Amino acid sequence: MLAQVFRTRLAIVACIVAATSIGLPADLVANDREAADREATDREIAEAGIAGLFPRSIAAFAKCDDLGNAVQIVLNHPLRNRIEALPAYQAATASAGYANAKLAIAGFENTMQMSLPEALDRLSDRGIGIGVEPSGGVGLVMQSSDVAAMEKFRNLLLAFLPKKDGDISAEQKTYRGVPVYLLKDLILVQVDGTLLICNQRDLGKVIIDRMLEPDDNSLAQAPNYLASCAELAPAESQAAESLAAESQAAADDRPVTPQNARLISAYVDLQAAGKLGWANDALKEKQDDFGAEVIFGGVLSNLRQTSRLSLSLDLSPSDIRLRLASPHQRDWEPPREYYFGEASAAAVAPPLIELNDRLFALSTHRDLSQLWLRSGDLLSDAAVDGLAKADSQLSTFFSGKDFGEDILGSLNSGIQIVGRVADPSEQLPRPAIQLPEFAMQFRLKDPAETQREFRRVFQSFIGFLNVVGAMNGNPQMDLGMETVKGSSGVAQLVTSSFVAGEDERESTAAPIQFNFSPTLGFAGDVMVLSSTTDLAKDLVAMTHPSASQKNDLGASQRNDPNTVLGINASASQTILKANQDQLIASNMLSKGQTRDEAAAEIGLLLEGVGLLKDFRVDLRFDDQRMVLSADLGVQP
Amino acid sequence: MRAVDAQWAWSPYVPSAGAPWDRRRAAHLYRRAGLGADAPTLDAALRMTPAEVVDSLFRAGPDADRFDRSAAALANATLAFNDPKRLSAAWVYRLAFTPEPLRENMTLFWHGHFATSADKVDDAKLMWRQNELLRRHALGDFKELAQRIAQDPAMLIYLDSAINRKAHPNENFARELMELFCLGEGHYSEGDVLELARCFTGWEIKNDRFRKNRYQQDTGEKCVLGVRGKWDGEDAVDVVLQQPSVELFLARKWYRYFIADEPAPSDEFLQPIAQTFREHDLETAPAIGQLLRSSWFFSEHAIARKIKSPVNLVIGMLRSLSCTTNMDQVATSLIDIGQGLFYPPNVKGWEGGRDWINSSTLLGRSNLFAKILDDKTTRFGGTTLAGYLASLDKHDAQAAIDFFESLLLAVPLDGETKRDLLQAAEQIGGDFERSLRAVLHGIVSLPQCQIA
Repeated sequence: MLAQVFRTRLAIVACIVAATSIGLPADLVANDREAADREATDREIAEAGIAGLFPRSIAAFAKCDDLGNAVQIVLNHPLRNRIEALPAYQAATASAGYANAKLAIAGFENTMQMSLPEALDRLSDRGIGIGVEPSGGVGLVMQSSDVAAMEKFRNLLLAFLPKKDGDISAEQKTYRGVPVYLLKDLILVQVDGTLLICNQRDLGKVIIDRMLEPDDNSLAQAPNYLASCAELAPAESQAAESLAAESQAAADDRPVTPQNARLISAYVDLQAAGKLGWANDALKEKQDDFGAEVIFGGVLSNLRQTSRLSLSLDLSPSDIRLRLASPHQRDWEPPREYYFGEASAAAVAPPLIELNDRLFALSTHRDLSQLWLRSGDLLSDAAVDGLAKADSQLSTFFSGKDFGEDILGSLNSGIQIVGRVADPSEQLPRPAIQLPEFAMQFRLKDPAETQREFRRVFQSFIGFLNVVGAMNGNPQMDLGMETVKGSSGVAQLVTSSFVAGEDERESTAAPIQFNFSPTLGFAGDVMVLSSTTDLAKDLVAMTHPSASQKNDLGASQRNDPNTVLGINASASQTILKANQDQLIASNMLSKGQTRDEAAAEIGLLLEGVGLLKDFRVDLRFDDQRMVLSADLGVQP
Repeated sequence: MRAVDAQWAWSPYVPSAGAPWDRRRAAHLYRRAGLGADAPTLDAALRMTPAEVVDSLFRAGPDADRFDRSAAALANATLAFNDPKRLSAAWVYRLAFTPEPLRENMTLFWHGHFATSADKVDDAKLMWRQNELLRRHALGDFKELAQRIAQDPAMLIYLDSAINRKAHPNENFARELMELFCLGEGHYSEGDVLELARCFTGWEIKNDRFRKNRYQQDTGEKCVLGVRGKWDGEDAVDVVLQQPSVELFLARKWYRYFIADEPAPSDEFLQPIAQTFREHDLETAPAIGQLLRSSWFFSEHAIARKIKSPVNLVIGMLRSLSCTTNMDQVATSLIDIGQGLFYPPNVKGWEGGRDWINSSTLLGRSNLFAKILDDKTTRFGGTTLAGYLASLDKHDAQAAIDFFESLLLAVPLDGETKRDLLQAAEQIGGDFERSLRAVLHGIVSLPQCQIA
């Protein structure tokens, strides 16, 4: 059916192309003077770029200057062969959807008389951009040096985009001598190699005016936008690396494979975006959620005060990089010094914990005591009420000590969290669902004073769990003490482990509790709270005294990361594989598939994860900028 | 019914001009015994004699072992969460796809007969063990099943009989064994309950396993149902099973399950089935087989004489249209409309019949189908409903209505209802898939579709 529709529409395109070339040749012949004027205008437009066509009032703007290179990177990537060899890919190529997509691409290529990648490159060789007005107007602009190709593309769009009710072809009007096509909800305009698709006539007119007569009052000249472009400029090292690789390829007479391509650069005027209602809830002065405040509090408070946000998305053969940047000023930081650090010191995360089979690691700077005590300034009334109740209960648990002041206040601001793949192969009973091990690591300000307190509370907590567990028929936990030798001397561990019932001792499908052996460890000024004894032992064994740590505040730089997250794909794959049966069962129940179908789908998920390498996010602040970077590494 | 000759009623059905072996009767057999059948299964059935089709329902097909392993692995995987509701979804999966639908249907029957609720047992592993026990003996020896169920941890926990001491014999299990499981009301006295309870003293559940505590066992002489002896629990179950009311009690329950909710048949009418059951030493399959092969089963006295249970309604639709969907959602919705698997309402199980239907459950049934048909995971024969119907050469709404009618309804639709359905489909217009799903939703929500 789709094929039939496509063929009919192709016939319409052919008619339009023929009519254009037969019926309007005189309109296409300009005199020499007009041609010279047009060339000058084209030059000006090219210099200003696509941003030069949009008004300064634009709330958000995104552009792609290098679509051709991005497509080349994807098409030439070594992973392509591996993906094409996947059974799921083979199955997809046999589906009706794939056949329809192929037919559509063939029709497109036939009309354009070039391959799809070539057409994408040609149609966007001077860029693609999209802008959103605070009024909701959206304009998409494509610029090409090949006017004839753009004309074919325009005719293709006119054939396929929905028309006004009852119309077979688009209604045509003129504006300043330019033909404007009125579609169902859109207008479409082509001026030489520039094509505009827009949903609002007023915005369309403004853009057409600049297509005809560029001026100095466009987005391209707006100081905020220019500053955003500067923030997004690729790092010098990255540009040099790319240039060197391309030069080497040219010297070796090899085809030049692009090394890096900027897929998207985007700019958001946060004041204008506010009128669109974007993220107004998230940018509230006081957060409703304690967890959201801990993770994003500083970022959101910065976005509340800054005027713009810049975003870039880069592709290279080895990774996909997302970068978000905005201005930052130190006087915007109060009352969130718990997040940004005090004026005299850098708020720098400790290094990520390195372990074999590491699944993830998170390190961050957060002064939890200050956050707790200042919660009235940071959180909504409802959240503060909840925290007050928790404070009262926790203070009781800690023998009447003030939880915010005395307990959280005894911790330094660097927090390290790590997760690792557990190896239950030698363990009995072995849990049916295998969870990763995870731990939190803190440094104590006064270990001699507070270790005893934490140890006692941990023991009480395990006792409490035993009472609750006994009431619910769950296995009981056994407490123990161990000492191990670590890098910073003898470490002490308070261990606990679930006691298996007689018929569960040899079980390989034991309850989920058998993933846990909660353990508290102390090594020098380091305190580790771990879900398993094994992980706690490894952490205390590799702990160094604080003076040798990179998170020693004196050695830190203001632009070192405030928060870092690293996720390892191969460990994620291991965890998924260990729980493959559970995932297959869930899939069978949620979709009613056969075991083979579900296994194939989960297999595809595992293969997909296997194509990735790692994922890293870091958040940095200095006196002028906030930068959030995310880097997704793929297998070479 | 008094005028009906029981001899004729329970004799094997012989197709005739008045009662031909046609698609309607084949669909009736599968709806009642086989949880529903798709069009190719019905076509294949019509190429066999009715007796051959009934025989095939008792045989495990070539795929049965493979499916059994896969379904058991699925259930075992859900046990890791110790959530009986997940286990309930695993059973829905099994009901929807099993190649042994009669065995599964009988497992469901025994689940209602030996009703045990996860609400009280609160242990998915024990509920699953009981479910496997019911499945293993679903078409087998009732004596063995009764003995096993008497020692089943989930059952004993449910009936508060996990601890039974000689100083305080627990009467619950003893009473239900006679009243609900084997004999029925009026076939025992209160004295029998007390004496029978003494036989089960010392029976305990420890660490989820059955055990006999010899120090708590009453070893004295008991008199159960007029028989004296130093019985322990196993002996006592045997004594109960020797009572002549056992076979009639179960024949009546099977009649109601497979043939008609009402009117209730007389003891005389049921006697041939009861007799077959006893003659085969309380083996279930011969009696069920006689019932399903009978002239009565294929007569107008049985067709469209039952209100579909929620499970029969939903699983019937899934199986009839080779439909796959979100089983978690189906399992949860079955609880909402009164037949949550592993969640019978009380020790008597589901009353069934007219109790299935009230204004709330009728709306719930319709809403459940709306959820299924709106769910993006729902597929028919692995594709869209339009694609599935096209593969069966049904290309328009009219053909779809006729097709759904032949598979899902025991009573034909009148012209006006068909016109309304067609009109509803036309009003939706353009999106053929949507209009087909709306027609299907309309049909499964009709009062006619609530009857089997």
